[in-house]
Amino acid sequence: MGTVHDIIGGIGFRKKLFDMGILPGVRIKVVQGSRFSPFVIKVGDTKIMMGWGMLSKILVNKE
Amino acid sequence: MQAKSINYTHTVAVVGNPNCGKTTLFNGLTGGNQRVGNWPGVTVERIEGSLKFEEKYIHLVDLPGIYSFSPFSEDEKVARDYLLSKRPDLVVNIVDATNLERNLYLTAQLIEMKIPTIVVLNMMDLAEKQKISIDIDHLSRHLELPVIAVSAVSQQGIKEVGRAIDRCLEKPVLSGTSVVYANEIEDIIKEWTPALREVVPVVGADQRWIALKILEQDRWITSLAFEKGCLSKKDIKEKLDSVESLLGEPADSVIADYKYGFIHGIAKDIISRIRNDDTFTDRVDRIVMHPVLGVPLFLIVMFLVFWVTINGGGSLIPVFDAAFGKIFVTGFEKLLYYFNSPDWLIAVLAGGIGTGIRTVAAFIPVIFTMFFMLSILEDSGYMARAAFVMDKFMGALGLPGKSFVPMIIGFGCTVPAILATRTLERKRDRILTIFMTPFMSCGARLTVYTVFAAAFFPTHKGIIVFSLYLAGIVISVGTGFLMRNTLLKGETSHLIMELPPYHSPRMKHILIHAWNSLKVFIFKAGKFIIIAAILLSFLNTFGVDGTFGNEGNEKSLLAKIGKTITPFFHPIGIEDENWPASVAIFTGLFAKEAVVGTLNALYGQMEDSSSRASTTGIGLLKKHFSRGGPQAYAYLLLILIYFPCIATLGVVFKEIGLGYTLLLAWYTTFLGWNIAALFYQISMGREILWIILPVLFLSAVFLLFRIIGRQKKETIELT
Repeated sequence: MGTVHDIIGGIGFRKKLFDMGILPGVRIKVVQGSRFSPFVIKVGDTKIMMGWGMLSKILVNKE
Repeated sequence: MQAKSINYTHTVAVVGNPNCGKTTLFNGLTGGNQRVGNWPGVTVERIEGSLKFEEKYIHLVDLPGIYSFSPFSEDEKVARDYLLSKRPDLVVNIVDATNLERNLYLTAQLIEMKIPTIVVLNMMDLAEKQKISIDIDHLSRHLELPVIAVSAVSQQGIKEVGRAIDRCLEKPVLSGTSVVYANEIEDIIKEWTPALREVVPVVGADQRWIALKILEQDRWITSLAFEKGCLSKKDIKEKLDSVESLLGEPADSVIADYKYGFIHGIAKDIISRIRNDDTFTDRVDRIVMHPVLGVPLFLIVMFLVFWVTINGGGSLIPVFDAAFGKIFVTGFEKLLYYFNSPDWLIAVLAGGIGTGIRTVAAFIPVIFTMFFMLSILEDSGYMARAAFVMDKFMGALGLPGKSFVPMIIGFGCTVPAILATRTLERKRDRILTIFMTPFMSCGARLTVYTVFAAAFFPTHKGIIVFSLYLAGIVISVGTGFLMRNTLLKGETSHLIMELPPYHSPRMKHILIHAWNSLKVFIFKAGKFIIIAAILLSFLNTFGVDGTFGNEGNEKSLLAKIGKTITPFFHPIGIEDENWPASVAIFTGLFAKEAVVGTLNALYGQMEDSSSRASTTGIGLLKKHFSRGGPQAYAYLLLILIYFPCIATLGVVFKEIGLGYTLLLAWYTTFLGWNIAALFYQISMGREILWIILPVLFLSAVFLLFRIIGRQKKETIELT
């Protein structure tokens, strides 16, 4: 569980995240995942899956 | 597909996030009568229908499910272009009540596009189950738009939406509310408004919207502004930099932030809920996406789909084949005969077209079943999880997880497998998967393997057949690797995907979807198949002596062609006396199981009447493939790899166009010939020339691919 602090990436990447509701200031929760399998995260009521590469571009302040 | 706009009184567009129940609602409103086509220039599906009220005849257009309007993805671009250029009379914005805030992101954008909108809060039944309660009136006041709450799965809900549309068309409501952004941004908008006036008529939205898009670095809008000379690159860069330095974030980030802020402010006011953090979906997902259980579970599900499609659907093939055969081949023949039609006409019409129609029809049960099964998986929400589970596995092959589905189906029949690639979002992934799928030995090829295995390797049937399957898989992976690094260079897209909650599949929706997909197969791929069938039929029946009715005997053009091209197959081990094998390769184009039939028929002809009765099919095989096992195996390799059957080519053509279809046809045949030749020569023939040449050919082609790939890379980097 944590709050998104910053997003590293180009405009296309950022937009994809914004569309899902992931932007600075938002709380997200990592449900499952590892370096070798995609991650499942929850943002509000939305459940999203993404790879390790993408997730590492989302800087989160852990609670 | 042109809508008869003369008859329509109004146009209504339906917009919403993916998985918001839009399709169900659309189906409900149109009564399942819809036209499915394509938006011009792209592969995005276009679905239209109509709705009638007393004096109104409404054209309903279903726009693709999208999260926002931007030019980044085809779906979104299509939706946005439609709304801005066609300016429908009303937009029906479907919002998922169980995920309100995220869904309202799109609504906020719609409001800024200044089009009359009505918000339909859908899935209220689910919201109730999740103990979410929404103050609808309050929401309506905040948005300054009409809002109705329904559950689109109920007839009543659909009727309510229909009535609401009727009312709103009488008095369309344009929201007066707007998102207020940070001061810095509002200032820029004010500053740019006069300058952007000329862009307004071109775009179809007001200056505020245009300014925001420019700040979001929307390439299309920005270049329009340049063209009209409204703003210069310097102007824009200046403003973007100033926003970033003043607010600490790029402008697009700030804009998204304020939009969500606007929405959150509303949501806080109108939603009251007891948040459930461990839903049914979560519980199921723990099993389905379990690091250890996930993959086996997926394989079981896939096996089930495969089994139902091939065995269930497959069992109906003879029914359809016989029925259509009776009508379009035999029946047609009789009809033409009755009218004293010349032989050649009968051959072309009944033999050609009739056989073509029958071939297409024979596939119907399998294809429909497959689409049906896949629709169930997609609708229930499982597909998303499947993509996730197989992603790491398929990632090694440079493909998305969803590519696994077509390949599994390909073991039954290549035709539905190719059609299954439609679920892949990106064209490049579809092309790559389509190139890899034909090497999965299908049921038809299995029939050939079994017969040959029984003849030449009676004690090792299983292993031989398995080795062929394995060879197919290896070649498939190799092809994928080759294509991925040469012609089809490109990164796999960043995988980010919403996982919708599970729900029980909606039968009506699934049937409509499966039926629509089937229709497309029949008419598009079917045309191609029928033409090819006519050609082959003609060659098969027309003899060199000018007569007809030469099927299965030496005099037909097809046989003549077979004999002529046999030398070409010498390196593979087909000797001149074995020319029926070449003909069989040809008839294998129709359907690969025809290989055995053709061989039997032609070999049978070659026997003189005394021995004809006593020699078995297997005996004949052994006689003509006189040099035994390796010769037969080389032939099998060719059958495995070469030119897919015309039904397959027909669907490939429909999916990825003529260029790639020709490439596939050439590639498979080229590869097949070379590999079979190499095998035969290394194992038996020992003719050095025919070992070196295939190696040379293969290397030359791989190099060629690489060069083209490199050129393509340069072009991509230039743009």
